Amino acid sequence: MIQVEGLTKRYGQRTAVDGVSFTVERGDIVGFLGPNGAGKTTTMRILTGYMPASEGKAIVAGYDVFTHSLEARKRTGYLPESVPLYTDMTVWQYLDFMAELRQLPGREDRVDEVLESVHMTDRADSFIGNLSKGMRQRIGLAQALLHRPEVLILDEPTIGLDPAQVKDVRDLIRELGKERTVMLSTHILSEAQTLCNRVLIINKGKIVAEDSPDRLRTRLSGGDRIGLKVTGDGAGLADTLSKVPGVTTVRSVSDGEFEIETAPGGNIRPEVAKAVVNGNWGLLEMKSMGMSLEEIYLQLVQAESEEEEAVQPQQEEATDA
Amino acid sequence: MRNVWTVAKREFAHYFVSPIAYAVVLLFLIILGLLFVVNVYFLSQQSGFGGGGEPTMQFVFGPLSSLILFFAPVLTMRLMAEEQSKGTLELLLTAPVREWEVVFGKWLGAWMFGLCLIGATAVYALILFAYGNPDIGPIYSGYLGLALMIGAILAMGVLASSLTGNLIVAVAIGYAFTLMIWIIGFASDLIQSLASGFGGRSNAIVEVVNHIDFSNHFQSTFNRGIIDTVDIIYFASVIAISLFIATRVVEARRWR
Ligand SMILES: Nc1ncnc2c1ncn2[C@@H]1O[C@H](COP(=O)(O)OP(=O)(O)OP(=O)(O)O)[C@@H](O)[C@H]1O
Ligand SMILES: [Mg+2]
Repeated sequence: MIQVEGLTKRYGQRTAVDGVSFTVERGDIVGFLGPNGAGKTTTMRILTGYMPASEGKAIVAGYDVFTHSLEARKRTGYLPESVPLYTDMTVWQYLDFMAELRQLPGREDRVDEVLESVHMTDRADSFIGNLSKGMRQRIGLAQALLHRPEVLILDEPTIGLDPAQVKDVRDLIRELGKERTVMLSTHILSEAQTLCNRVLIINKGKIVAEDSPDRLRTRLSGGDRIGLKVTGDGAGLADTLSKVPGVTTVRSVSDGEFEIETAPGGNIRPEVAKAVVNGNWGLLEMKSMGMSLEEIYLQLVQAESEEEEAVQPQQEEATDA
Repeated sequence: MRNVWTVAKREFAHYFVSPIAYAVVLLFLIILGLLFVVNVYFLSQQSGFGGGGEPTMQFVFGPLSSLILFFAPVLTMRLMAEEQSKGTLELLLTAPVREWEVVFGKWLGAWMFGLCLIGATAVYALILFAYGNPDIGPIYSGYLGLALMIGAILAMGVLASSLTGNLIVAVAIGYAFTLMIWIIGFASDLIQSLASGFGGRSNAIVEVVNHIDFSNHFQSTFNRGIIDTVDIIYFASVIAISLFIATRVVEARRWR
């Protein structure tokens, strides 16, 4: 559905997107993560045909966004980051106008339908300029859904929404993601973790990781992390645990609570449990903690920055000046 | 083409919800009304109604053709500039719409409003018909000429608006364009008087300059009942060239 190859975008001297390649299949909900200025919005603007890339190729819904821009745009729904809207129109007028631009048959019914799906039917006759930020966000989303696009590109879709709306919008996206392709950027890592079946992490214009949230976890941290709780203060348990094959580190969190990190490959939880029981400690709790997406994200993004700073500190200064 | 109409309709409707447009129309009609009354009054003082000179629509068309130059940039300033400053251009350009359809639609919406503005002066024509017997020919040709002329000035205004994201700058550039066209008329007079002093060698230059001047394509032809294809082609080319450049400017904006 989305195929990107060697996409590069330069704004003058600054390279915002640097040789990015990825593919997104139909039915995928892909989360696009990265720090501020990483190039998420820029990538999305290229995919939606708003601006051309400096180099590289992008195919959306089967059409090259540079050579067959109009065809690609017909099949793409886009929620821009700043949610630009015509503030001097009413909600209904605006959606009707966008539907007319997309030459939709049965326009009025469709406008009513999308208004319903973002729960804005009761504000259909309000001027957009008088709506709250979250409501505008919902109108922007309604606009992106109007033509039932095959590909949805949403730049920070849940920002500024109240918790109930966040849940609604996530459910909506999940529903859409069943038959369509959704690419969304977000700074809320838990959102990416629960909503997306794939995650792309971009930093300084380069993709630094691409996988499902779960596999990203195991692949990156390599091993697992296990939390243990035993009766008593667990004196001596640390020694016993560190002798279990596959355990790399043991950390005592508090009396009777431990965290173990294991080497990659193989599930050693049964061995750990056996060691505890054989040593006559009462096992109260044992859980796999894994690394949260947040930790992975920070690890990736920071590792990348540190590397760069170490290699080329002067160059950084030069581009900033 | 359907998209052109969609965009045009929106822009046309927008003039009726914006207070600026109402203010412009009101001011426009007041100024023209005053000039009309004053002209008719002096004429009747001089020779009596139905005597030497009968009042004609030229009383209206003359000042109207100058007033248009002042009002048009205000009518067009927001057309493209606001799309840029508010970021809504991102919506339009990621919808399946071509740049020229946007630009042409914007101009068409403004032109339809301009035609309404000119059409409102038909009140004066009705007054003339009620109290006298004016020649109908120059009225037809005058309106045709004005329609073309306002179309051309609005097209330059759309171009001005596409060059910036700032409404004030857009209106300033619009005035710079119209001023240029205004001044060029004086320039040709100047050249002509200089030339006659030096033996009239610069006729070619005068002709070219005269050709660019707006009023030469209206005052001496349309406003006197003459419909010349040269004038029609002239205004049509100003419209086409301005909108073409504006389209290119919008396209170029993507590449930044
Ligand atoms: N129109 C522009 N002109 C010049 N530079 C730009 C422009 N738009 C973005 N940039 C630069 O490109 C880089 C990437 O910006 P982009 O907006 O894609 O980041 P982002 O990942 O969306 O960040 P955020 O999380 O803050 O939304 C930044 O360094 C930014 O300064
Ligand atoms: Mg962004």
